[in-house]
Amino acid sequence: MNPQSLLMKKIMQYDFTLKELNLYLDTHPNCRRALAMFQKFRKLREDAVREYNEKFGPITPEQNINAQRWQWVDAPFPWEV
Amino acid sequence: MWQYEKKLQYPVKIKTPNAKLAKVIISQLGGPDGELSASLRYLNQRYVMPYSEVKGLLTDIGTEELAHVEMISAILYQLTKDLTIDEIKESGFDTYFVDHTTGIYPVAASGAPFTATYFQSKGDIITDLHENLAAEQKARTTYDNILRLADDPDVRDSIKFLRQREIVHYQRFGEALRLTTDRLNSRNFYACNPAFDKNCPKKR
Amino acid sequence: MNLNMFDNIDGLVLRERENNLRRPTDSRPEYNGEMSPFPASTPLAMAYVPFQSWGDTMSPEEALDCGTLFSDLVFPFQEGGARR
Repeated sequence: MNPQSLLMKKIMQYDFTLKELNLYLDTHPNCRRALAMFQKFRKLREDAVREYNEKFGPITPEQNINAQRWQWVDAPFPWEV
Repeated sequence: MWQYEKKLQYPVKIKTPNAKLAKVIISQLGGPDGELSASLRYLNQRYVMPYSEVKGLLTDIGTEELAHVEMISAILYQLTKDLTIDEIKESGFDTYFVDHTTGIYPVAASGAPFTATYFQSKGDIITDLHENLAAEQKARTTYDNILRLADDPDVRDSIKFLRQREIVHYQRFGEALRLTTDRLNSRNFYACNPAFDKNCPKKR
Repeated sequence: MNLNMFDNIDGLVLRERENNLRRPTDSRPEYNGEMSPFPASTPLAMAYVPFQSWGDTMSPEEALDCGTLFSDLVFPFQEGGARR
């Protein structure tokens, strides 16, 4: 797998962990263990996304940091192999 | 409001087109128990929910279901890419193709178009949560049936992920029901509707 | 062993249950205790799904592959043994 795919996979893994913790916390809003795990992965995710934006481009339009080109519209879109 | 991220929740990488499979998997897009139905159900129900945890949960699961709509659409897109006319004729996919080519459009496997009658937003928290518990089981059964029909390991992979999500969502709605009954009078849960009646318990 | 204690098995079960349910079971914020799986009182004509307690969690990689973070929630489809 190329570095871009590897980093994107990492981000997907962090995001899924965060989503699972999100749903758990919705019904267990005072659970300290879930809250701690959420904070840990939130920071890891933030760093991974920043690295992705710098090396490969934006995952949301707001993350387009390239002042020379609107990379947001560049291929590929997620449903394309 | 909604944000979009240019990534799928779980990868979809299908190497072999298969119009026959697309014909049945499309039910999880436009069918009665599919992801679009789920998403609209939860996102519509959330407005009158009396308890903040339930508002949060319906918003968050409703949003996740939109990501699942996208996954199913990606599966369909990849299954119908580069089909030959012979493949289209032989698979029975021709009846969809004539109206949509290989475009993505929400119908059930029967060809029935998506309709709001597939879901309910009853404005009563106990009722809506029961609707949601049933919806997650119906979706799981649909995925079970797709797994019976699909041999392609790439397809099975993404379908198994989506199926497991339904079980987790069921658990969360069950917990939301407990959070609700804990706040109601256990002598009679049905005395009033906290989403509408004044003087109905509305503890945070 | 006094086998007479099994003469009142229903009483035994009820006492066991009551002992377990003495822990806080309320989800309202003024109760800081953990949620018990079921509420102290389970009247008729209502559905009760056990409340999940924190259990084993997987790594992000395992979780994404599996479809959940929580081992307690993994229930794969086995097609009645027809497949694998």
